Amino acid sequence: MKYDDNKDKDLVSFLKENAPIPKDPSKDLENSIFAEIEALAEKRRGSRFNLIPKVTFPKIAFASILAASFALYIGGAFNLEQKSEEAIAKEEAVIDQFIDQTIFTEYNSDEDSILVSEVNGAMGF
Amino acid sequence: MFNSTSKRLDLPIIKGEESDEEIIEHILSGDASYFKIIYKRYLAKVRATIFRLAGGDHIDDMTQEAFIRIYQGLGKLKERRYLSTWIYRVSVNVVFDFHRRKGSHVETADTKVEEEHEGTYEIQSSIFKRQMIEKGLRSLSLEHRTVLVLHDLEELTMKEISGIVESPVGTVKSRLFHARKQMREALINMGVEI
Repeated sequence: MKYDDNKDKDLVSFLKENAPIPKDPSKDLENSIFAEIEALAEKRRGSRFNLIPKVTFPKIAFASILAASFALYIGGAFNLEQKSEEAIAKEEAVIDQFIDQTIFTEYNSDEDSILVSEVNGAMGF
Repeated sequence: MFNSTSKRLDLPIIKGEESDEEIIEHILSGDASYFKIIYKRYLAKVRATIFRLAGGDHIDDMTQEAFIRIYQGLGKLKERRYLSTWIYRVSVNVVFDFHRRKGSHVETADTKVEEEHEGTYEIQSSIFKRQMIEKGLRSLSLEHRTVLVLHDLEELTMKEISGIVESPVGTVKSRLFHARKQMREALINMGVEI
């Protein structure tokens, strides 16, 4: 099947030279098309606006949850820090007590009556 | 069809020649006025395609439907650089849908033969030849006519036509072969020397 021989070339040339041309569009065509386009664009804008609550509400909720979580984390961390400071202070107090006791014992006795293990045991190590 | 005299979307002022892709981007970001550029660029192609496939009786309605479909479908167009081919596809689909709705043969051109017999011999001859081609096109099936118009008049490639009519390239070639054969016979029968 040949579709591009000389006969076809002549036919195609003839068709191109005398191709049917449409009449000019009616004067109202463009206005009519763009009135419809405008209505569709407006509808799109409207639907986008309507989507805002649906889309943004979960975002706001998510952001709130995130912020609350962060605040809880910071608060918790601060609390833990406070707690650990208290614990350190307690430990220091125990150490000070044992040091004082040791000094006092050593001062009153030649025997090394206080062992390191006892100090550690008292401190919970 | 929709009819209104309002004209609210003005042609946007653009610097230089913006590509189809850039224009589409503007439209999809919400500025529908850019669709005027698409309209101005492709109006002649859309109208010529519709006219050669379906005639002039409902050309304005079909043109309007084609441009509305183009506007509505822009967001779904994956390969924006193929806008031109896609616009042909939309135009062809509008004609086929119109044909289905009507449930009858679509006229290829104005059934009213132009009454323009004034002018020089060349002008008269040109009008006569154009009318013969219109009649010849009308004698083809819509499938054959589509391939002939898209390939020989709109100069689309086989591959592009294959995508537009959703048929394999082999089928398109076969349709073109038969369409040209029938067209030639029709023209000869009408006394046209090619």
